[in-house]
Amino acid sequence: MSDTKNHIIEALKKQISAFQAEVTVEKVGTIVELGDGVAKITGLSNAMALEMLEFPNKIFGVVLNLEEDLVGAVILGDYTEIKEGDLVKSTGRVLEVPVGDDLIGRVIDPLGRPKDGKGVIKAEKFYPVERIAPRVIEREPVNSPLQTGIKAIDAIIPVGRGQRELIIGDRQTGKTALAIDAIINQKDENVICVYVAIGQKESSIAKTVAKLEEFNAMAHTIVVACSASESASLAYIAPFAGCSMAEYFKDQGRDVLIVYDDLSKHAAAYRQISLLLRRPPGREAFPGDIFYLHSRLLERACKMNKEQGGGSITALPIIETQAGDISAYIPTNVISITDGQIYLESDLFYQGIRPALNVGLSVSRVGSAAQAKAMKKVAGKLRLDLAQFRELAAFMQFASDLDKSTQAQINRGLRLTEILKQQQYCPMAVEHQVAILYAAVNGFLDDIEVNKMKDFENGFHEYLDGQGKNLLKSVKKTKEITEQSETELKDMISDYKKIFQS
Amino acid sequence: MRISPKKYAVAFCEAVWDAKEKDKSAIIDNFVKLLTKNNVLSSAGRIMTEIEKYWQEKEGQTPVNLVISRPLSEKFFHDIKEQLSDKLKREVVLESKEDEKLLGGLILRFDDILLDGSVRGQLDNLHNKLL
Repeated sequence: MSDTKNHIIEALKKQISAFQAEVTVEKVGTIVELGDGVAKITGLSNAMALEMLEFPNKIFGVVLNLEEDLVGAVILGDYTEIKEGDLVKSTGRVLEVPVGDDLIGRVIDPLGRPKDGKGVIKAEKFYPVERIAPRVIEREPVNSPLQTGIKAIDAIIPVGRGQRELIIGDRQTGKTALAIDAIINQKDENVICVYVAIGQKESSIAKTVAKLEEFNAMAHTIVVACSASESASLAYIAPFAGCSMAEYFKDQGRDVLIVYDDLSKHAAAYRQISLLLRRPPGREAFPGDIFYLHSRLLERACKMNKEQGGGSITALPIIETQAGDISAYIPTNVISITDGQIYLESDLFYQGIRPALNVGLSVSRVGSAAQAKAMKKVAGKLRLDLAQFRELAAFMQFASDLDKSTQAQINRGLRLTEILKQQQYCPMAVEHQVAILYAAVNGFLDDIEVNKMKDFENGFHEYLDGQGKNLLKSVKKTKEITEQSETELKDMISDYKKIFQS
Repeated sequence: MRISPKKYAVAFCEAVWDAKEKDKSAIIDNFVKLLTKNNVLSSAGRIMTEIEKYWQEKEGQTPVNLVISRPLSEKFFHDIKEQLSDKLKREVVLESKEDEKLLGGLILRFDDILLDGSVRGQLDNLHNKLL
């Protein structure tokens, strides 16, 4: 015991004797105007854009406006403790966040401070919050799939690693649920996930974290949380900070999935800051650079080429629409920036079609290139069948007056819609998805009643797990349906159908 | 166009600087009238600070804030003033303040530079270093 005591005292002595008292020279300014989390400061003649400032009581701020004799800054934290006339010190560093493996499994605020009470985070490195997106030369086309585990998405609107796919829909349509499912499904896929909660209720963040823990998904996830009660400046920083944390893993050559939940609140936070800084308002009172704000954020999602380590960042931004209006300012902006959108509709949600995916309006502009061959084989037919079904759906009431082929189309469509339904927190492996979709698309399920589809599907997966292990393995390994496995699969389906119908 | 307090200050100082003694009160009168007309009397405080700043600059003076821990002799102030004027190549107007929390040493502040040579500052530094 005394040994360690002596050791500590020795170390202290060493540090103190090594400490040199010197006069510190600092660049300072004085607050002349203060309110609502925004400060106008005189002095600070050498301030940089996005430089960190130190206010009294260890509160930090960020320079956003550089004017003739004033500096406009936002305060990250509790601004009620700061008053006019206070001294502000410049730090000479642009805003940075800690990055590293230590962050995995933690809930942190946008500045990297722990929020989960699990102790201090030792940062390996600091990354600036704003970084330039990788250039063309360093990139590679999206070429491998990111399995979300959701049948409807993996089949119809596939997402590739390095893609930016927007999840858009009204409130209560299951946007977050979709993203959480995607995160849960990355458990064995060697993908790090970053979930950025912007302006959400503290209770829903807690719920999300609890769910992730329940499904063992926190082991590969970082949650960057900025709740509704925190200042708008933190909400503005949050997605950029999350992206920097993701970039650390990308730079190590790993694949990252980042979810921004949601960017409409982020836009609102940025609007607040901009208006307080007296930047001129534009459409819907958003500032002129709101498009650039989101485009430079989403541009940082990328697939790097082999020389750069081959890492990737896949971004799933979420946008909440008001009454299904996707032609509002922020939704159109983000739709045009991303490589496709997953459109969720409340009507579908209440009809019980969950995920409430509107297959007609949802697209993926690059993901299909990355789809596994096996999935491609079933997905093509699925897309076509569903499109035809949508055309004919209006005639469904007169089903008895229709000719045979139309009736068959409608029947097929009903069954496919049923198959694409999926419970929350139940992501499905690709091989299972391929098997059930193969059965549905090729008409093997046409003679099973629509209301029994769910039971059939559940039973079929169990049957496959028991009897079709080799088949599943080969589909997973080759990512293809070979002729041999196709006949095997057909046999399996007809065998199980017999069991099911008896 | 919105005219900034600094622009008002510069305009006023330039007008008064070379004016004859008898014209000065008329200039001040006109300036206040202008402020009233432009509806900026509410920011008169800011304009006054800017005028003061600009005036001092024009006279070649630099205000320096000095914080010390305990009362010191006249000679000390004189020496500091002398040395600073020498270094800055400008006339120095010293404003001093006492603050016991400093414990010892002094803090100098001019323009936007802060020189912290206080014992309190050193202790804070040591504290940060040890943590």
